[in-house]
Amino acid sequence: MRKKDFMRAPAPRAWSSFFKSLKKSDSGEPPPILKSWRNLYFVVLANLLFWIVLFTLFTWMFK
Amino acid sequence: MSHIDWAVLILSLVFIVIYGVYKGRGSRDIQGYLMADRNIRWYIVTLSVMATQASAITFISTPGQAYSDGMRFIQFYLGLPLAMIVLSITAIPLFHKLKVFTAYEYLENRFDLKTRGLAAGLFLIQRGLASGLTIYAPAIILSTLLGLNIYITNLILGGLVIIYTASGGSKAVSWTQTQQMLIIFVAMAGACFMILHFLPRGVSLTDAFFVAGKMGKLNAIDFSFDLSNRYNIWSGLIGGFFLALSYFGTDQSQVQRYLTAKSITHSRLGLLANGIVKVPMQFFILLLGVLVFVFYQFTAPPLFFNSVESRNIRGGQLGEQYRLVERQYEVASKEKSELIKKLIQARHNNDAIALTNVGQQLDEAEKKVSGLKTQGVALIRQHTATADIGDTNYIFLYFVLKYMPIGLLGLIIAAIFAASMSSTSSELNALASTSVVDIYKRILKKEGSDRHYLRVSKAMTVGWGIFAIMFAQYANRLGTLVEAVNILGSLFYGTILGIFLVAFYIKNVRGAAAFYAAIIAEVGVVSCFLFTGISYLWYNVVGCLLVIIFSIPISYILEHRKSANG
Repeated sequence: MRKKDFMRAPAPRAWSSFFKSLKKSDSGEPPPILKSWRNLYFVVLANLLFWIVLFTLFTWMFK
Repeated sequence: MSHIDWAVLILSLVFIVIYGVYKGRGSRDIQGYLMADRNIRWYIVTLSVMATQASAITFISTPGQAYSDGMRFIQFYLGLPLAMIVLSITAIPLFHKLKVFTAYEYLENRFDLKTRGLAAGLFLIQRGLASGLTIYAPAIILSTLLGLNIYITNLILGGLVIIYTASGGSKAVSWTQTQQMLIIFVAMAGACFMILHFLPRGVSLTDAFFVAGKMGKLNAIDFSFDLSNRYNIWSGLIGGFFLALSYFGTDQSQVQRYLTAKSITHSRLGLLANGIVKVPMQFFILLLGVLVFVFYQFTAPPLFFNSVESRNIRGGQLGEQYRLVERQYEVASKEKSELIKKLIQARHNNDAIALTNVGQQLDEAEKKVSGLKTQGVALIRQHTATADIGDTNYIFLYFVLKYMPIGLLGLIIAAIFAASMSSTSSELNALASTSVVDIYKRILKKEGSDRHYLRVSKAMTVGWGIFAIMFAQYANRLGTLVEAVNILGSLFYGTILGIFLVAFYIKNVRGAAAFYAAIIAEVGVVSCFLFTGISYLWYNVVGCLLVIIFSIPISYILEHRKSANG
């Protein structure tokens, strides 16, 4: 993604489209912005992995 | 506490109660009262689930645990995000599709009434007793340090919760929990800011971590596989996963929180957001404890943080001996502080030789300080045989009461009250739901009007609340029975999880087989408790596996007999 494209998608707009897409998905479908629940499961797993790596570095750095 | 602190505390508590009563008004049937009309948004579900799990003890004990034992407790939570994913895939769609009020209602759909009754009964016994302890545990610490009467503290904690939970039901519980979490987050952020402010001039955050690391407190991850070691990454990922699966998937106090969501999407997002936020939140709370530890490396800590026990021994026959140990402890702590300052200086100068030398001296100084603490604790035990010799629970509150500025102190105490109230309210709400939906409405009075069941639900909430307060009032006379109640939870959790796992994943097993397997598993778990030395944390695994292992052959035998008979 070019820098200019990145600048065109500010965070607040992303959040508002997330909440809008959530309103449309009250039936149980994943919010369209996520495309699939699998994407969110990967986010949760990636977040867990991030913290495990951070804690490992934390333990190792300040041993 | 000053008048301003009392004002902050009282205003916060009164606000929570009024807000709960206001937000919970208008329920006309049990769908509205117990399930909040299934209209709660995902971020409220997240906060509600977090508030239910985080009791007052989480905020009182966890920093103390980091102070004494380091950061390794964080590994206990590593299995939680995995459990959130599994529950989002399996339990949530099932519960929503069947539009159940309680997790145990699903068991009747899948198995039969007796299996539902067994699981609901086990939950009522376990959670009913635990709700008393949720009130008692913070009340005993708050009353000790603030000089309040324990019975009045129990009454205030329990009474305030009954007012808004009975009046507003699930809506009141979910909405007040968002406010309670807000108070907790603000108070903890304020405490963190003040601890950093109290570090001596010239000691940066990196220096603080360096000191904590040298003293073995930043042991967040341990990759060694050791079954006797309670906290390592493997026990955290595997054991923590099973525990979280059991707690969030089968305990009505949690299940009810995400069943109030307006759709499967909102339930899933609520739980998955909890899976994302929980680990950093616990890390932050543990970090507070480590920073308090670093603070006490520059300021001599008391020999024993439970000031009541210290006061008792000072006034007794061993008082003189204890005061002598206290003086020696203070001198040894000051010597240790000087060494730590030298260590930081050596780090700033990149002096490897000095770092090694001072590090060795520091180890010796730490041994001396620990030895004196052991002497002091031994004297306390000698003075009062029944004395509580663990002071971990008192460390954070002692620090807060001694050093926090006016206003923030009141807010932190309010956060601890709020944490206790949030857990208790979920418990009372869940106990009322299970009593009404699984027992009263299903077995005792099947035909009743909406108004009748609503009235019974409110009465049940008040009834369980009064039971919890009464249990809390007697808890200090029960002694070791308090620990027995905690063990009681582990005696049942594994069996309930086993029933649910069989229901979810082993399609051939019918109700009778699951029921008999659960009875055998429960006997097995109780036998482990009575006749073996297995740590009670393993009972979850034993109970769960026994249900799964026995349900399959029993199912085969019953089916075989049925086909033979006819």
